[in-house]
Formats: sequence, C-alpha cells, structure tokens
Amino acid sequence: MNFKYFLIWIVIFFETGLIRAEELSVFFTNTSVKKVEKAMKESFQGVDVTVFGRFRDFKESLKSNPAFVIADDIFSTLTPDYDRVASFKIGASSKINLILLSLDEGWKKKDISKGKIGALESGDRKEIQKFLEDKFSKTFDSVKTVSKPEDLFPLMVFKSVDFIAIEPHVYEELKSRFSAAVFEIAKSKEISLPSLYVKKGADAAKAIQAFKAMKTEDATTLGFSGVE
Amino acid sequence: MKKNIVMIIFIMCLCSNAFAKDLIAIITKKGKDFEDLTKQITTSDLIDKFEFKEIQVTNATTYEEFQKAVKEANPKLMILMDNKSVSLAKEFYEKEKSKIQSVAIMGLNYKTMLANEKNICGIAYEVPSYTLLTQFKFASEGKKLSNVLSFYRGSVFSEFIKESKERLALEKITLNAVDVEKEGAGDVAGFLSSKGMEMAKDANKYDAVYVILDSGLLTPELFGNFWLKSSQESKVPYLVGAESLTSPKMNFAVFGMGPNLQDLASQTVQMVQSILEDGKKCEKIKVEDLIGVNQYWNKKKASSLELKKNPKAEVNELE
Repeated sequence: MNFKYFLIWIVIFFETGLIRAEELSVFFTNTSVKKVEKAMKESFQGVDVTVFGRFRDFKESLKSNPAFVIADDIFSTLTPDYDRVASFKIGASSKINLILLSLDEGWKKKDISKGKIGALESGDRKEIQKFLEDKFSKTFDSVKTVSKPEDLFPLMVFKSVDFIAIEPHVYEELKSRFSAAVFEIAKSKEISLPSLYVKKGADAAKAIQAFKAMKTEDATTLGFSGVE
Repeated sequence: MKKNIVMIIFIMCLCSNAFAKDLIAIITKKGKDFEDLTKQITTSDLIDKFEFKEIQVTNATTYEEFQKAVKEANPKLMILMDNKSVSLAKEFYEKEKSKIQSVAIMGLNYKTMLANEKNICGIAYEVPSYTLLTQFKFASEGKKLSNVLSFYRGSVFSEFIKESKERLALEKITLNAVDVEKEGAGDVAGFLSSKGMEMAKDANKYDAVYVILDSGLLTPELFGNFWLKSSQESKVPYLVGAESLTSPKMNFAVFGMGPNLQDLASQTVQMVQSILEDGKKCEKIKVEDLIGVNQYWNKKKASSLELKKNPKAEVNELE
C-alpha cells in the first residue's frame, strides 16, 4: 500500500516537473536545426535536449531554467545566471573574429557608423546591435537580422543592408551558394564560438563530459573541428 | 493627505488609459496563411510594447466600412495584408490626409503599386529571381547555370528585368530575357508557340527557364498551349517562385520557392519596429524584397532531367 502511494507521488513529481531530467536548450545560428539536433542528441544521451531555430522560442525556454545551454557568444551578455564551461573550436582555437563584408568596396572602417548592418538573429534586435557595436567598436545606423546564414547575401544584394557581420567559417560555407565578389571592411574583437553554459549551482561535470565526448564528425557537420 | 492625492491621480490615470499601449491595426482577410502570419506577428516581440486589433476585410468591403473601422481603432500603425487592404488604405490616405504609417505584406506588385506612396511601405511577396536561381544552382549538384531564359511583358516588367539582370550578373548568371510584346509584334501567343517554343527547348543555349509569375503570360490558354507543353518537351529545367507549379502531378517546374511565413513575420516585425521605435518613415523605407523562402524539389521531374539533388540542400522534396 505504502509502495503504491510512493509510486503515485513519484509520477506526480515527474509530471509536474519537480523531478525532471536535466534540460539542455540549444540555440546557435550558424547551421541548420536538423544538423544540430542530430549532433546534440547523440552526445547528450539521458538529457532532455531541445534545439531551437528561432531566438524567441529559445528565450521562452530559458524561463524554465534549463541546467545547460549551448549558445552563441552573445548569450554571455544576456544573463548572469550561467557560466561558460566549454566551447566548440576551429583548429586550435575557440575564439574567432567576425568579419564585416560588403558588396561595395567603397566602404571604409571609419565610415561604418553610417551604415546598416545585417546579422544572424542570435538575440533581440537591440541586444544584437549592442553586441555588434561593442565588438566592432562602432555604432551602426540600424541592424537587420535573418534566421539563416544563406539569407545574409540577399540582404546585401537587395540593398536592405550595407554590409553583413559573419563568422569566417560560415562565409566559407556560403561560397558554395554565392559567388558575388565581396570586400572585407572590418574585423571585430575576438568572440567565442558557440559554447556550453551551465546554470550556476548545477552540476557541470556530466554536461562537460558529454560535450567533450562529442564525435569529431558531429562537430565537423556543425562547422567546427572539435570542442575544448 | 499627500498620499491620498497621489493615489487619486494614479487611479484617474489608470482609468484614462494613460498607461495603455499604442495600438497596431492588422487589416487582414480570412484564410490560413493570413491567420498564421497574424498569429506570428501578434506573438512577436511587438507584444511587449503594443496591442493589436484585427480588422477583417473581404473583396466586398466598402471604403466607408474601412474608414469607420480604422477611425474607431485609432491605430499608431497599420499592417495591411493583401492588395484589397492596400487599395482601401490608399483611398483612406487620399481622403483623410492621414499620417499613420502602414506596412503592406502578402500582396502582389507592391513595388509598382506603392511607388508614390508616402505613408505605405512594405515587403514584396514575390520570390526574387536572385534567390530562386542561386539556390537552384546550389540545390542541383553539379548543374551549370550561366544562361537562363525568361519571357516577359515589357509594358509591365521592364524595371523588374533590369534589376534582375544586375543582381544575377553578380553571380555570373546571364538572364536572357525576351520581351514577348516586342518580339511578338502584338501576337504574344503566336510568338510563344513558334519561336518561344524553339528557344525553350534549346538545351545547348540555355541552362534553365525562369518563369516569371505574370498573370498576363500565365493565362490558362498560354499555360496549356505553351508553358506546360514546352516544359514537358524540353530538357531544360523550369524554375518558378510558386510551390503549386512545382507539384509532380502538374509535371511543370523542377524547382520552386514560396514565402516562408515565419521569416516574413520577422521581416514585418523589424519593419514595424524601425518605424515605431526608431522613427523611420515609410517614404524612405519603400518596398523591401522578400528574404525568407521555402524551397521545393520535384523529384520526378528532376529524375527525368537527370538532375541530382545536392545532399546539403534543405529543400522540400515533392513526390
């Protein structure tokens, strides 16, 4: 009898989320949701993994306080509640510089404050603008965001923006889709590649272990050479 | 005593809507796409600062009905869905001399329709030729795409063709656009069924046929007698900015695209934010090109044309 009631309470706790499998919310913008889902679910077994394709949905997921998050560098500026514990890497480094590309070679770094910048939707509009202005040490007239890397080139071609901010390895991928000649106007300060963040107070060990055990081939499909 | 006065003033403010959010009116029609897009917009970041009111219109809605509904709503901005909403709004601006800014979406030919409008800007609903052709090139592994044929009416699409040629030249794609009104000397149907047919089947000269969504050239007669016939007799792939024309049953286009509604909602929200939060004016914004699209791959047609899909291409495969 007691055991039956004990089981009922366990079910209630699980259903209400008072006991829950650890949650991993994933949102980074450089590659497709399908590829990310495959890589994460293989590495993080036993963890409740949700991969988001849109920032607004990811932001909503943070209200449930997931123990782990994998996200772009801008995430570190959005909340003080998480610590970065590991990152993807390219070559030997987990740091890169964003590049500012334009179809118009007339743009000079000293003038970019007059321009409109295109970027991937890694945060709210104002958060992205603030992040980019900090990393490029310049203000911008305005920011336009898109959800997929392949939508950045059309933004420039249609003159919706004057230049785009993009990670070099993402630009290399886009070269297989677009051959329009572009000019590098500026380089940003260093940013981190997408990283694993752990909520303060949560047990990081298991998550770090799973992240670092990610197969190289899975990291490669996401555009990285490994994790560190 | 002071506390009571402050309390009274606070309650009066609450009652007088001093803290009420500004209103965005969405002029919309019945239909799944309209409803989906409205939902995306009304649950976006705009919800933090604005309220929404939907005003439904039909093709039978009169100007007086529209005017009454807008005046009652007293919006800060209008989102106009479909050409009917835009027509009603244009009349509203002419008669009321209103300065409310409006964003037009989900309608056709906005670049022409809104060219002289000071208070209406928007997003074109047509898939840009640049997007269609560059993404077809990526999706069809190893396919050369240097010379693309297209037929158009010079009286309507000259500016569009000029812009398309400039954009495609960036990708080293030459758009060979044939003005059927000029070449046909008044007999468009005759030209297409003779010379047009010959050109469309010339796989040595052309790598693809780009089908412009022009109701004047895609009449039922021309579609049956020229477009469908030529696409089925030709080894040249047909590309079109519409999902329905990519259906395997129709056996027409091998690759198509259509607007992605989530991306369109995001593009709309950003335009609204630039007006209401950044103070930009529609007169400067004008009409933007559509950015986010869905891609469709007609498997059966691709197989008959010996086209191989790039495994990296994220397309909807239609069987």
